[in-house]
Amino acid sequence: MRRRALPLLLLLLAGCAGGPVPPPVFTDAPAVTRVRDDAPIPVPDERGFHRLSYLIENYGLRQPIDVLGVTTHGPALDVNRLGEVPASSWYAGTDDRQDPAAVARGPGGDDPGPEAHRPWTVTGLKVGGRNPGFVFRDARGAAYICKFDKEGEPSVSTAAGAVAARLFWALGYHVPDNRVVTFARDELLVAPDASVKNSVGEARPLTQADVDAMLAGLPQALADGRYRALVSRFLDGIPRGGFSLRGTNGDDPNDRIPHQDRRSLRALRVFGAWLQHVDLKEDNTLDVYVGEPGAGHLRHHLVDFDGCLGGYWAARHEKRIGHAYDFDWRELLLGIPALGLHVRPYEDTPPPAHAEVGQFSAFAYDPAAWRPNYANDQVLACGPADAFWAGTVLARLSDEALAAAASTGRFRDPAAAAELTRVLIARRHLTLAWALTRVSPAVDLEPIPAADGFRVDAASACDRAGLAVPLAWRVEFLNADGSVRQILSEGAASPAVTVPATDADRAVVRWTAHRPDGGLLPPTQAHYARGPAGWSLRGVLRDGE
Amino acid sequence: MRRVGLLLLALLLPVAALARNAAPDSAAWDPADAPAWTLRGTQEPLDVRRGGAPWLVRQVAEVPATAFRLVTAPPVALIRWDERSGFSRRVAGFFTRDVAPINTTVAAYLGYETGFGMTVLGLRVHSTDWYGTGLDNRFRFSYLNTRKNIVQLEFGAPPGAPAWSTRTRFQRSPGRHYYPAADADDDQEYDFQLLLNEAQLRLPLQGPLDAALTLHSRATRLRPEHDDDPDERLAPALAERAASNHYLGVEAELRRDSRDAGEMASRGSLLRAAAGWNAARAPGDADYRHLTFEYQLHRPLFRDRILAARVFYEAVDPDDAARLPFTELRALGGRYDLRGYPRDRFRDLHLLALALEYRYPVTKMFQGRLFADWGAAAPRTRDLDLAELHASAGLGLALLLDDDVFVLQYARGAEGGHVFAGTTTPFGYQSRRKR
Repeated sequence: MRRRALPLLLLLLAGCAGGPVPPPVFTDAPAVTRVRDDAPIPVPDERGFHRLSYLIENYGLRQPIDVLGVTTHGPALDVNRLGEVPASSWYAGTDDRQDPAAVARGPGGDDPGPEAHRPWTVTGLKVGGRNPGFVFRDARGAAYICKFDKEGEPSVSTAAGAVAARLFWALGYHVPDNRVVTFARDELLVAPDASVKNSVGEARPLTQADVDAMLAGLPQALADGRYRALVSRFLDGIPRGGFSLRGTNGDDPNDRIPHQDRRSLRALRVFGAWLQHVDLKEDNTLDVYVGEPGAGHLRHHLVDFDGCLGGYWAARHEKRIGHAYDFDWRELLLGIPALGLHVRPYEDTPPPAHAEVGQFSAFAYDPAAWRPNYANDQVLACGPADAFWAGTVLARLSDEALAAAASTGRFRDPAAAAELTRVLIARRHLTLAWALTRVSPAVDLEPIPAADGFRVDAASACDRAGLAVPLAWRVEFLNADGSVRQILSEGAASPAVTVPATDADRAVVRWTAHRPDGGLLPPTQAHYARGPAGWSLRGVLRDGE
Repeated sequence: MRRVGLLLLALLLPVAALARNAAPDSAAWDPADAPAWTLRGTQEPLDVRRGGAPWLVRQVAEVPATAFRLVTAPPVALIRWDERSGFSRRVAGFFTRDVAPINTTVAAYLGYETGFGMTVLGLRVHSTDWYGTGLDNRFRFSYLNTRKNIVQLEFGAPPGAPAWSTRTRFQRSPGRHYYPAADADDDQEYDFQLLLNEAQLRLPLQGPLDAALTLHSRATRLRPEHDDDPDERLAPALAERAASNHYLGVEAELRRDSRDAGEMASRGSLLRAAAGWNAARAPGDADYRHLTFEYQLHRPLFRDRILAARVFYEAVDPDDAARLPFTELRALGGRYDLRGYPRDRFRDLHLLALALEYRYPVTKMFQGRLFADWGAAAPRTRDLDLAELHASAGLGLALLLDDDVFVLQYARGAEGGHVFAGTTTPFGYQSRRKR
């Protein structure tokens, strides 16, 4: 027995053994700013969304993995040597997208939208169901899908669809042009070739009476008799269906990085928490083939944002939204023996502060504990370094930009836009306080030549974001084997340091931040190399990457 | 010399410009040319540098996760194929699924109950607005393992008032229990068959008040089950017999409840009373009058915790109690009332059942339950002594679906415990007579 146990014990000890880990060596190539994943490919077949199998995997596998805490995702793969996400068909970057005027315009740019091109010609109609809507072309031929608010929840879903789309666009994602519009009945025409399926599934020509019946079934019209709606412009290209949130799509040769290893998708865990995007699943994404068939490529979009902010609540009125998965093993297993005696914080959520904003507030909002409806892989895979990157992107959005986004909700009461802006700012503050302290938040790590060695005027990302998070910094100069060569700073309030002269051509500096409560944040490591022009920053690693 | 130099410069500048254009963009990365990790700019791929025991624990715990993935891969692949091909839309789905072109919901279900049997197959088809006619049609088939088989067809009028409906139901229930004495171990089994034809006219009256006039004819057949042992003495009531009767009844319901979770309510109250006259057609059987009274109360305690209470009283008043078949006596026990006892455990002319249930939220769609039931059956109402009621208590977990409630519950009475699983509870919407 002892003979058998000894190797096992040694194996366990080997697994637990620690020691200096040699830091990786960066090459001298420049940091990648653009990924060429737009090589011509054939037009892929349209993909379906298999809801049942998706839910089985989600509820049966991903969630237990989350509950057991056994997620083993590695570092993100779609980032450059600085930990930034280069522009690609997945992520456009935030250049020229974050000033208030740009946010207000959104992905549509200077296009005035369909309200400047009336009348609209209805080409398809959604009959029955909980969410009526129709498809139309405006007077210039641009196609849109039109959706409405839920019964008793004026403006909530339509505003959410427009505001959240602009904010995701400002955060760097490919999204459609969503906007709130109003229209009158006499501004709708019916296309001669439009058809509709009746209740028994038979297609028949669409009539004016069908449009009248659809409008009559809407929960509310505006006081002047016009209708308020959310319109989403059809994306240019050939829609091919949603992209898988795990692995790669085999029909796209440009798709080489598993989706759960993309920082741009992992960051949706952070942005989703901020904007309450609980309904993120495969069929709320859309791959579109752009370019001529055979000469184009797929571009990957996020779509359907009317469930963001208070939109999902408007449809379901569930306080657990954002606090528990749709089917939550953790709540189930802990909730049964609790006999209802344990009151969850979200159960005391007060009624919406403004009817047009809906249940979207900072009450009981804890970004660390936030849960979307589905335990998608990229949510589970979001690690400290991914969250930190998302935090730095989010921190660049100003209060004015948020106000500009909120104004596109076209609320009936101006106070609603102010309330939405207030909540967005409050939730952003809480989100940043969490995301930016997932790792030691040292930024601005470029070397500055100094008489003896070089200087790094590093700053705390928390300070940059206006967060009052006092940190004590320990900065170390590492040897090539990862051991500490020299402690450059200990207990300082600022992460700025001077790196002494060294004979080597490479230098590695490690920043570790201590919180006032004694907590230690995972380190940030900067790699420097000496070239003909002096020292330069070669790479940044966070959270032991 | 200067001219030569300028000439050379003029010649070289376009070449340099061309060379600049031809040079690859150094800041771009082509996934087709390089492994994914090279985007990071390191000489080697980055390892997952998470050290120590947690890493080891993760590796060990990954094994069951991987095993689960392997086990579920074939069914998930099958479902994907199934959904892609549309096969399931033509046959049946789990719980409910719309099936075009007849705007129909098909539900397949499973259930289990000790002392009652196991449902191994169930199918329910519900069509609203049948081919645009507005008719509301239901077909139900369920096979309970050796216990109860039901085929039922129901037609409902288009929405409007008054509403009419008809249904035909054939039910075969072998292995039902008869408890002739106080000792539950003396129970005997019999085979019971029922053919029911019913027509009902429902009149929505003022506000929440609802009234229904019901007419039905019923044919029953009873056959005792025994193993041909000559020494076995069957209870006299279990003699093989066939009977039929007509029933005319009126039912009134006053409802002010939320009815927000399938057939359950979270707040409000319901008052229901029914009376009827049953005319026996079999020679020797007694006619009887019938009366039921039911009251349900749902009261929120705090933050979605609900306390539900139910009082149910039922009585039959025969011309001659001695000539009333035992199948016409009121029965107590089972999933509808007194859940800690087997179905039909107690029978008599008069019946009283009480229930108290505490419901608490667990997570979305799931509700925990603690309950206590009391009840008694007696030959006369005044014999229903509140101090002598049979008692049982239990706990359960309810799955709240859009149109139904699926409950798994365990209850324990003085004679043992019982597990119930299914869509019916004492607080269901349907009246006891329909059950």
